[in-house]
Amino acid sequence: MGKRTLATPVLVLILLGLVMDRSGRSFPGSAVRADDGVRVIDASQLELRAALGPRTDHASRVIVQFKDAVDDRDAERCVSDAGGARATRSAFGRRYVVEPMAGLDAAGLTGRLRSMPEVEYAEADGLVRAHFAPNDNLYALQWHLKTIGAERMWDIQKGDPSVAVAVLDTGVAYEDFGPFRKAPDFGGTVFLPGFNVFTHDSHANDDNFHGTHVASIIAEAPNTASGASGIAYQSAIMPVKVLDRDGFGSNSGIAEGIDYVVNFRQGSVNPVRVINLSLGGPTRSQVLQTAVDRAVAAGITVVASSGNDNTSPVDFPAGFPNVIAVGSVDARKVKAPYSSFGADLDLMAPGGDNRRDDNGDGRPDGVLQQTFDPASASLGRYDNFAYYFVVGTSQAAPQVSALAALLARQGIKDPKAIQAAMEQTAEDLGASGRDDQFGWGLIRPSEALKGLGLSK
Amino acid sequence: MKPSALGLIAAAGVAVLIASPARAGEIALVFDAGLRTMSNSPETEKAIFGQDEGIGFGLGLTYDRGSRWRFGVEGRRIERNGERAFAADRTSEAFRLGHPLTLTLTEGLASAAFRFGKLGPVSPYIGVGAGVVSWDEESDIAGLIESASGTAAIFEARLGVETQQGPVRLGIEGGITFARNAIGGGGISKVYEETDLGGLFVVGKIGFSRK
Repeated sequence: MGKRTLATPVLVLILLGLVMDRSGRSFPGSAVRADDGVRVIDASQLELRAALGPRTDHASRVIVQFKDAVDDRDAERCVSDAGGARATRSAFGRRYVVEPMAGLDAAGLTGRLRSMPEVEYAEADGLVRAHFAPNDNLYALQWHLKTIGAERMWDIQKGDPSVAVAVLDTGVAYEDFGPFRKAPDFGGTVFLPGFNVFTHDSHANDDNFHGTHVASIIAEAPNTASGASGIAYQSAIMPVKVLDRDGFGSNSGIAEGIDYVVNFRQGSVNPVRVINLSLGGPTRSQVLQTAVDRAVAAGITVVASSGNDNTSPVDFPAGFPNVIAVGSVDARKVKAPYSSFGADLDLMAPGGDNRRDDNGDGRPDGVLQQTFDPASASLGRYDNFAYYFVVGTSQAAPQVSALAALLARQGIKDPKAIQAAMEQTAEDLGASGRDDQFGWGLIRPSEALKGLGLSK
Repeated sequence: MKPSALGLIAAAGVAVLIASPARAGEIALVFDAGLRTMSNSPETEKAIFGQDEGIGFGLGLTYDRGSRWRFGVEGRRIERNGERAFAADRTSEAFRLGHPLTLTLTEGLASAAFRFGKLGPVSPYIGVGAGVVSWDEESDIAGLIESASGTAAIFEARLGVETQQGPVRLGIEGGITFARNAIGGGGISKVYEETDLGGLFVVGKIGFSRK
């Protein structure tokens, strides 16, 4: 698992270098500004940070879930007896993330814990990362909205603050707090109290750029001077920070974030109907599957990106059966070259391709939304907002999450029905019917929102 | 059969009533109104119409041959208002989506009934009918209208009681209609694999004859 994760940024760097050499383009710094004020992110800077920056090796940690009858004292004794040096308890259950003592590796610790009768399950804590792909040029303006027929969709439904999407990501630029600033196009957006799994407080501020871009795809306010708009722009957003400043996180952190969402109440109601996970990793995790199961049982639709490695199967959590796995198409409705695929792939949405200009606007195609300059962010400044093109299944998944929120607002309460509504109305791409490259096909929001008549 | 056709039947009925010789069998112009369900497709009905009952209005001409047999032609219009809905599959709950949907059924039938004679102040009868139903579904989805329509053969079985006071006949009638394979080609009825229109009904009747 660790080998694959570390290899990916290197591969991306090589590919990016080839593309830049062939095109003759160069991008000084981590962002460039076009004449119209639109910027593209030089993902090489971000990938370099991710590859070389200091980070926790999550794979050396173990997640252990104790049985309900086990109290905290016994749980801590078990951790100690098994060789755990340090343990952090989940805020939402008898679940611990344990670091092994010197001389003991994660596999050894896992084996010892699994042999204990008090333990329900134990597993190595897997690494997950944000599913953004590099883009190295300017992209056309919000072509993705035209591709999914957004204008007709908005005639039918624009969302409502009573329905919220939880964005589990690098955080969101949703408040003025310390060095963090609220993004300008979130001026009228309703935000629910957030959660930061790293600091265990409510300040889920974005220190990367990714989460803000993802949240903007869902709920960026329209009719601003630049004209960028989210899909379900009247929906509320719950920011949950589960990825660090480099876009990495752990299965235990994702599970903690999901548990926060599931346990959230506003009055007696949980307004969160959708969880967006524009992230993933290769590890099938029981703690993550269990957390997803709790969310779906609570009536929350869980959407995840398939991954950007053009491999099969899709990453986890997208690979879980009750998660809607979303791949990416370009402006031609062709599978994006990076989009992971396989038997668990459910739906497609526009995620772009930085090497193409299929809408003929003279710019390569990417998903344009507001976020802040990641280069400035690396220097501790989080107020350098602009409109950025980003490509990836990370950008496709929130379009499906936004549609899920619109369907929930329209009246469909059950995650299974929401998924079925999207799948049954999708534009069939590739082989007839469901296939492993496109799933059920490209979402068609206005068709899904129409529902069914008596006999048509 | 459109409302104008029902008006035509009414006009013709009045004309026949006035022109008919007194010694011929008794001819009556009959109006009915009452509740008409779609109980032959219960899941579809529940999904689209919820608890809203269908109100139907009809009128017809009847001809009494002797004291036992009655023959008739009748037209009927039933309108039901509901919402578009969605259900994942036939075992799943349907969710109503708020887009207004109107279903209009227009029926034309020929009927025959057998009257059992007086039982105290009332006369019970049973009858059957056959004809054609035309259905028209119309949805308003954020200003755009989607419609579907079709026709099918319809059959009806009924029983009722009536009482006559001079030229005025009052009655109450219940029964069931069947229109096989009328729907189910798409929409919620396809999800629930329900293909039949019609169902149980109960109506009140008032008739006028030249007694």
